[in-house]
Amino acid sequence: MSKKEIAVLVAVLVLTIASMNLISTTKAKQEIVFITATDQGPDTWNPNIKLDIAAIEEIAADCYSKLVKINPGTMTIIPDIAASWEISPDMKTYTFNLRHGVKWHDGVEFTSADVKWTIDAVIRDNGFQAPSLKAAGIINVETPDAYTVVFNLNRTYNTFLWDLAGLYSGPVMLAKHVFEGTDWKAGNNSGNNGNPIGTGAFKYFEDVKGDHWTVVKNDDFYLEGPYIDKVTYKITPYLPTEVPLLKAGEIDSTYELAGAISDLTDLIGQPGISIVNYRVSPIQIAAQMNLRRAPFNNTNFRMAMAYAINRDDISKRVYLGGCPSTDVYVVNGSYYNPNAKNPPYNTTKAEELLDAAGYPKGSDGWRAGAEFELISFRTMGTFDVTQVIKEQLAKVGVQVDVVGLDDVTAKARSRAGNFDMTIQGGYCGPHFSALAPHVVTGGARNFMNYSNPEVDALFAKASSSTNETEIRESYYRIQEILLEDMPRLALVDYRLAVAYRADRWKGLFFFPEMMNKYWEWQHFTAQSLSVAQENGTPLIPTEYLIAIVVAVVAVAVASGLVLIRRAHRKK
Amino acid sequence: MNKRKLAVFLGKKVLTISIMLFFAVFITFFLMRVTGDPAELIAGPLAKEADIERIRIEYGLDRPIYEQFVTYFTKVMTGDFGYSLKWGRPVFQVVTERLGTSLTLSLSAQVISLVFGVLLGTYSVKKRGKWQSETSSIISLVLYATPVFLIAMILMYVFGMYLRLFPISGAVSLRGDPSQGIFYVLDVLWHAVLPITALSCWYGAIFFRVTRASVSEVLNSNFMLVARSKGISENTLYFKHALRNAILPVIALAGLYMGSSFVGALMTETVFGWPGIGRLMYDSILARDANVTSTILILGSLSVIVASSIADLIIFLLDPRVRS
Amino acid sequence: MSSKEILRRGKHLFLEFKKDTGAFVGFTGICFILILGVVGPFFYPYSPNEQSFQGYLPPSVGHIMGTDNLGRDLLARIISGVKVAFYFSFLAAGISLIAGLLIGSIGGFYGGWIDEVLSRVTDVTLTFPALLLIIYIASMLGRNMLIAITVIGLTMWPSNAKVARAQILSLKQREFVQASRVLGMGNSRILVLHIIPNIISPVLANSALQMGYAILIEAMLAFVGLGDLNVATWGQLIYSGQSSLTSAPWITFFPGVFIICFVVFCNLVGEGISKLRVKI
Repeated sequence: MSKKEIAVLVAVLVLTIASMNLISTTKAKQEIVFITATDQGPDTWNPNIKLDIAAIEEIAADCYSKLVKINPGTMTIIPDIAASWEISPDMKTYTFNLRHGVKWHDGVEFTSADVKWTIDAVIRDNGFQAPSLKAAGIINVETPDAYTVVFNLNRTYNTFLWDLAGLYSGPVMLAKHVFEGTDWKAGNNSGNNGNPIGTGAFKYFEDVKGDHWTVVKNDDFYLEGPYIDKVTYKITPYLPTEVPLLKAGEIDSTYELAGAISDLTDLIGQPGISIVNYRVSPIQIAAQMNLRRAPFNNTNFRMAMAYAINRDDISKRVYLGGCPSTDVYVVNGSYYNPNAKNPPYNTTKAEELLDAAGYPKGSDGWRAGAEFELISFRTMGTFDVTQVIKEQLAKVGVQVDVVGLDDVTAKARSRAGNFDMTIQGGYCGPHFSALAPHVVTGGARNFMNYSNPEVDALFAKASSSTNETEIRESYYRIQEILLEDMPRLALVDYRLAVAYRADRWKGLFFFPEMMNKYWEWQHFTAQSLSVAQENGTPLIPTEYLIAIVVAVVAVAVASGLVLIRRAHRKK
Repeated sequence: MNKRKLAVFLGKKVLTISIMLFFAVFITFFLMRVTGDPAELIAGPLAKEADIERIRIEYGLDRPIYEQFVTYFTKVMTGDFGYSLKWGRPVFQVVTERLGTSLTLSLSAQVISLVFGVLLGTYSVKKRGKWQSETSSIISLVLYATPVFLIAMILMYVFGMYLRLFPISGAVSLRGDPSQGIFYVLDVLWHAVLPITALSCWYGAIFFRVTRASVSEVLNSNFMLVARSKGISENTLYFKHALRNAILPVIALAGLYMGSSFVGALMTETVFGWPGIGRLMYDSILARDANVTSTILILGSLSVIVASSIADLIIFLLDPRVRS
Repeated sequence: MSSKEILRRGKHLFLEFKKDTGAFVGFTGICFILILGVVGPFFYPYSPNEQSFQGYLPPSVGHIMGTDNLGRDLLARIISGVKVAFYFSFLAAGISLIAGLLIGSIGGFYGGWIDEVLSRVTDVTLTFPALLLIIYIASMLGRNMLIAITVIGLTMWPSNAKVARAQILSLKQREFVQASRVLGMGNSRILVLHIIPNIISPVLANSALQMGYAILIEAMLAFVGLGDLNVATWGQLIYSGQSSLTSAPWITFFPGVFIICFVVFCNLVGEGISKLRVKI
């Protein structure tokens, strides 16, 4: 090809690229848009209907309010749409004083009638949070005036506030004037031009299924802010791409629930990027031992495991230290008993216990009869944890066979009790009572088949007590018993990590008392208004499609022709 | 051209296509049942017993097998692929929404890789023995040996992150106004450059090597000697005569690969966040949405069948030998 | 064929092979990797699961290829991955070889309606995009390496079948086949004793290519997250290194290089075999 032709082609190429780039930057308005990555889109925009992760975890916090919410920094209950509340001494009556002047996104006033309608509807129509509301034993909800709501329970229930604020247990407030008389679970919202209505800091803007959704700021928000015009959630299901996206500035923050700091190694220490290590609600990664099977039916053996497994090493290796090792309950969690610490790493003591358990070391260094199979998922780093544990236990002569499974199989096997030991991550907060499903007889997450009537009784006593001292003593005692019995060895306190562009965004914190300048996440409920489904816009309209394909094919053919022409000319 | 022969050919083709489509549906149907309880698969991992039962009745999964197949087949023919678990909408809608977006990527990549692969392959035969031929051969081999996603990630890091020349995610820019008209097209094209390049690398390498082998073979045949003796220029010799005869196996291959470009597209679309069918497959696999994945499987087979049939037709029209 | 003859032909073959630089490079490359994988564990001090070191160590004198995220020596893991790579590709290509050879030969040799039916079967198998099918099955049946190998083998055989069939069709007319028939040999004896040894060469060449292809598919499967977690293949190594691509590039770089080299060598060997003028 002649030098002139090459030069022309290159010039055309460069110009095209430059013009594309230019167009893209000049058309950016003077709008403050924060883009964050997320891993899936919402099915509907109503968090009270069903398990819809995006709606529960993102939209509920952005667009809706709950009565109260949790400050994860201090693990306390703070007001949301209820400005204050009183609890009767017998903890059967909860009176909430709602904020005045709160408006729905369509301008209608928010009143106590909305609260009553929501609670009644969720219970009556079996919304997503119905189980926890029913467990609270609500007799009725009274609305003495437009800004007061009274809950009458049929029993002393001292974790009611935590339930109302909880991620999966507390419903968001829905607008009565929109849903009354309709099948709200089918999700047709007729307010705001058919778009979802809430009282939150942000309003629905658009939802492009599979690609992204956007919320726009609510100027009438009852608290301070927001200072951002729009928040866009970009769906990036493939996690490693978030790193280059963040660095290139195409997103401003990574997906907050993606994983721990070990998943963001590329971003540690990078200029302009800040990483926040936080927890929404305590999650423990724990080794559950199947008490039905040998060698785990032997207490000495289980204690030996506790001494032989180096939790600090796990924390350092698998989680880069971002998830600290934990005790029976999370350190500084609610009702944490500082005297119920997990045994320290001590291989000598472990070997003693293993001998005492009846598994002496053979001539090949392995303890016959002590072998077992360790299963795990692959999320939350549990698979890597099993690899580390395998090596640690090999040092004391216990042979471990590691099997990594996919989620469905792992869950099924755990539930069926078809395992020796399994590494799982599970919520155990924000309130201590969340530990119950893991350790009470027949608890939903008690795969170990552990049963201690004393523990059951203590949980029951604490949940129906009104005496703070009694509650604390019960919970402390539970931790001590768990330490003695050791059915479950809690390994680390799983902290999530988010990376964001600190060079572009100031004052970005994730705890409400610091600032309310963009969005919060403590409230995670899942129910979504399915109207957004119908409003989902197709990504690329057909006319443009044809234009694009034609353009690309034309370029290819043109270059082909150029090459051929040159071949001919050389004749 | 012999019209009757063409008609015979087309008739046979239609028959073959129908048979293959039937088998594609049959095998997908079979796979869904052999890998587990289809009701459980469709209902997904989070379903309760009641949901599974409901789905069983809804999809007629409690009927005898042959009846199930008939129902399934007729439904597929009418475009009813069931309901998507993850998206809460009919699968057909979900898939067709993304079809265009996906085609933009894979079709463009196929055309580009075909054109460049074939031309460069022929050129490399012409310059055989010289450095151009050897280097291009090595480069094509390395490109073929590199998994698509690795190429995609390298492109993403080099051009997207370090050089900031191209965007690395999505099909449209998210900041600023949703653009209209020509700007929209250019925006999408700008986003498409890296994914198309990543896809074209692997296929381009394949077409390059196949063309090279095919043209080399043709060079030794009789009619080429005749053409050479006529004193035609080198370029015409290679690019017109040799290529015309060597292109047949390439077209056949192109038919197969065009259809299966979903595969490479899956990797590329996932890495670049391009909202096409490849990514839909990836998302559905993660979400264990059986209806969508089996539909995409059928779609994949269908596209291979269609593309290779078109390729066969082109071969038929071009090659005098096949016709006789 | 007597063993002496086999040896003689083998030596002749090897010398022919050596002349082609490409094939020679490929052959030595494969041998090198194979030796590394077989002999390495005996000489190399580190074990692939040993976690005594710090994580994310860059390549240095102590660790030639650095360590991975859990502090395991990367070279040790790559060495253990060699065995798996050969196992995987051999088995998959083997399944494809046997199935393809059988179906292609039977169809080509017997002709008639058998040939028609088998050709249709071949075509139908071709219409299923291999990776799509594998991903689909893997997502349903769980991540099991043996299942993946079987499925890959069962999607690759059509190309072998086509090659075998084409060869047979051209061979059928040759004199020695007709001579054997005159001697009164049955059809199946002719097939096994005479035909198959003569057509094995191009099919073998194709199988070498397929070995490389199988490894590529394995890497792609691992990338999508559907690989077998419990086996440390090169694809799995790349998968585990993705989140630290810029901070610890060696974790993805070295396994990637090995994959590329493996596939390149397989291809070179395959092309070398097909270029041989002396058939195997």
